[in-house]
Amino acid sequence: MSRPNRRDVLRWGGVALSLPLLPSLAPRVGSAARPPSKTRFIGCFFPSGAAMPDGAHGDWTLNGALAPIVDRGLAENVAVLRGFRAVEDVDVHWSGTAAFMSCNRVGRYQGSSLVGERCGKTFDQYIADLQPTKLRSLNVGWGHLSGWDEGHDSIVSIQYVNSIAWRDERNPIANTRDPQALFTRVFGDGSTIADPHIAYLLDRKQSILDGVLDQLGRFRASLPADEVAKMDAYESGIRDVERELVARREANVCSGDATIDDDVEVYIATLKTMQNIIVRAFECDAARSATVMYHEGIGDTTLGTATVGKQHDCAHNDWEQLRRINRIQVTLWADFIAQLKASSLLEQTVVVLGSNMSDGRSHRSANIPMLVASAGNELRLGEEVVATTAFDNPAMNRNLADVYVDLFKLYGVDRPVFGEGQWQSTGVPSGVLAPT
Amino acid sequence: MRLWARHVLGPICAVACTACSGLIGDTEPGPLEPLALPPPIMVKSSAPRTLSNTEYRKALSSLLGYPVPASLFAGWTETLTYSGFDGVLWSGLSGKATQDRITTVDALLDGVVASPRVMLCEPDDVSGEACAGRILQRFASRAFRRPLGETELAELAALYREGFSLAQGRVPSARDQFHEGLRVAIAAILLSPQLMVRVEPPPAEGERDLGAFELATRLAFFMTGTLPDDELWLAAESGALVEVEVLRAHAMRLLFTRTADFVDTFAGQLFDFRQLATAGAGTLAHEFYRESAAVMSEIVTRELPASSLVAPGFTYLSGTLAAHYGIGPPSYAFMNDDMLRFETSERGGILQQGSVLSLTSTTTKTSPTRRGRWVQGRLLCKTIPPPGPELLEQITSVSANIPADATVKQRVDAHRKAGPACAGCHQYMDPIGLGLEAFDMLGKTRAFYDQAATLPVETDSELLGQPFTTFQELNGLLAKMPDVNTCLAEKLVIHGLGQMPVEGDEGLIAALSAPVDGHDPSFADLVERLVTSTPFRRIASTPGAQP
Repeated sequence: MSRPNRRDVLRWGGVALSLPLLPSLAPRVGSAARPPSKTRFIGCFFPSGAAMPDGAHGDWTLNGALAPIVDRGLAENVAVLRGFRAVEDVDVHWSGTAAFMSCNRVGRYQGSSLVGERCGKTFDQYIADLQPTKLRSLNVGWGHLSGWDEGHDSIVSIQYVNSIAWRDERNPIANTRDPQALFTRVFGDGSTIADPHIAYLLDRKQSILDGVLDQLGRFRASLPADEVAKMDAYESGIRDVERELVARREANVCSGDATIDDDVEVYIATLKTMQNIIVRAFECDAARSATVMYHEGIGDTTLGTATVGKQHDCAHNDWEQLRRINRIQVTLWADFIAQLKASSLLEQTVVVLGSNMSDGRSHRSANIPMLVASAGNELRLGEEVVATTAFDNPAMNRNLADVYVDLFKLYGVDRPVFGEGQWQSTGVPSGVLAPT
Repeated sequence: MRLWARHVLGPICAVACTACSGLIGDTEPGPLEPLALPPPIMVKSSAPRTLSNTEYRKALSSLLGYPVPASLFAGWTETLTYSGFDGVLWSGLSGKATQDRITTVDALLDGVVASPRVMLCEPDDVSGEACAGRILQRFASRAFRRPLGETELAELAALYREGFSLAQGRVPSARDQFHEGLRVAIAAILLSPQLMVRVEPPPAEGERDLGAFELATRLAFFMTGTLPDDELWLAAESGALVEVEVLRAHAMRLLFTRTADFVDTFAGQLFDFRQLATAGAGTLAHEFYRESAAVMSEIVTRELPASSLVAPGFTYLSGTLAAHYGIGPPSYAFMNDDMLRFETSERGGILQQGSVLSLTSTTTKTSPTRRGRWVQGRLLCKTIPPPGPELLEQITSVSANIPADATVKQRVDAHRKAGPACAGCHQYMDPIGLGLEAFDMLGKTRAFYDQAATLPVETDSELLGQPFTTFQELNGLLAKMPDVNTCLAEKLVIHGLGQMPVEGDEGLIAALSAPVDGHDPSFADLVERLVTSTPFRRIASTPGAQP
């Protein structure tokens, strides 16, 4: 059998060789008006909105749900966006989640059960492309729904509520929900490459992956054209593992540790621990892109004893409980920002927090909760960015894609068009950038 | 539109919902129906399917010859489901899925060379390469569910040699080096997309018969949720499986000798109780699972009408369950954790089993709407369409006007009486759910919602205009509906063919659910009819594909 020896290619050629990037797909880096000031990104999300009656600002103010930000002295690092809308292509739990960071339409099932699960490559994944790191991106979250009901599931994939990060338009990225698994991925399992047996096992794993890739190539050729894109994700996943193997061989691993949070509430401890690990991974430059879903896009899994009732049900029927849940999730996010600031990472990082709706009772897609955090003077931090005074009217709202177009500029990426259809960027500045 | 009109309870979102009531009645034959020809049976196209987590775990177990612990899959992202069934929707092999599989296979590699099912020979008997070739040929063909070509065998041999060479000087003995070579090749097989994805290549145009190995795979996953067993494999190798009588015989063999697998993979998914299978032994959740599985197994093996699952007249109880339900023999009658068969009309029906009752509730309360929606979706195959924004606005305003001290029935009734848009769906969900309010979140019977016995449970309701006051009466009404029978047939088609129902499936479903000697068909009848049907044995070209 004649086969290129990928092991050597990877060892000597570096990871860039395993990351082909078609020129036509590459953003124009460095041609933007601004020099790049940001290098890292974290997209955060919670479902079902806040106590925002009929899309009014309601409880989503610095005195209300956002008080934890003020309490931590972070109001000057946060821009509060008003009058931006979620993608409402179908039930906004579905499309508002899947398209939160791509602003693409979501596909629906038609004919074959496979057709239709598509959305768009998300902002975080474009940032992950800019600088290959040991770990391409860290995507974590709480909760997963395997199905909803026949009415929804026969129209759109439940997968749309489970991922805010999409590697490309056909491949959503599943979240890691186990802090231990995330820890192992970032810090390793405690074994060292200096141990000859460990070094051997890494070599063996590489041989195995080579074998799988060979089989994948042949298998792909047997698939209908429409299905080939699906197998791309498997290949990408193997390439990612290879990249991590190379880093381990070069002893390029994160040293140190991350704090395991010991909050009595499992929900809080789990999310805080995963946030701690992400901050450490950013500190040692093992990753530059991450996403955190504080709950899957419906909010139908239990958050433990921290709350009474499910987030989704509370959004419909019990706003007293909803306020408690919002406060817990905003507190988690504020702690995240505080950590990034304490680690001197905030200046290089943009962190967003958003939802798929404002008023959960009517699934209102207008005036979604949307925050942008960072440090420095490129963004209108410490301000309200008001896109429209008709903030409660979806038809009059601005597209979230305009925000992403502006954020791209901070990374030195000139991507003037983002999103799709009626949710595509408009070419008008979102207002989130400070005047130059 | 994927679903045909029979399924969807009307476009309720923005219009008055008279369409719902019209559709629900369309299973009643009209005056000209008896003269109509039976609907044609359509052969379907086939789309690639990724093995579900459970299928993959069971496949690894059958390849390795020992049960692979479920704990190795604990961190995996759950497979997507449609109407309870795994794998009808695509479950992608995303980056995390890939990492999870690599980690799990890594953890299994030490044990691989200790398995007698894998190790057909040792290098003492024949040369290392010859022995490895023999092992890998069998292992890969069973994993890929087909014979291997010469090129594939050569590539596997090369992988073995690569692993063997890599081990030189790094593991101590020649035998260890032989095992290392095998581990590399076997791991590559276990991670191969050819194991993980089931593909039935469609013909360029028209239809084609499935081959013997394809049939073996279809039948095995349908009946047992895993790879073909040895008997099925032999029938595929000989080519005999393409004979419809041989296929039928193997289907019946699997139904009656591997009943637990069939119950787990079909009923366990359809009625959700498989979710409780991995609960800790002795827990209430696990007892619920055992009850559901035992009742369903008896319905299968005694060849009772499949529709009798609504009210079979018996259940199975452990001591824990008898005490929990407050029925059954006294505690001293139970030995260890054995289950006893107990004749009763109070329990045993699918809607009186703790599994379904608890899984359709939250931990704090029951929801008549949720339970009713579940019954419509799983027992009657009626789809409640998603509410649109306008309807949600209306629901919001109705909810806001319900008095704080309203009873459960009053709350539910408020939606049904809030105009046609709300009633359009709620009339098909809530009355059924109200009939089950006599069971709490854990399936215990209750007469009151509160301990002080001030809030009585009200179960009087109606099903499609027919009043009932107890759940037994509700069961009686459900059992008389033809929908339960046709719905079971439809679910079997979804599970067996791995696709959502589409327009054109009516013919197959009607053929499956036709009476047998004046009675509803048994599971044996349903399975036999399905596996011998043309849609099970043939596939059509993919619509829209270029020939």
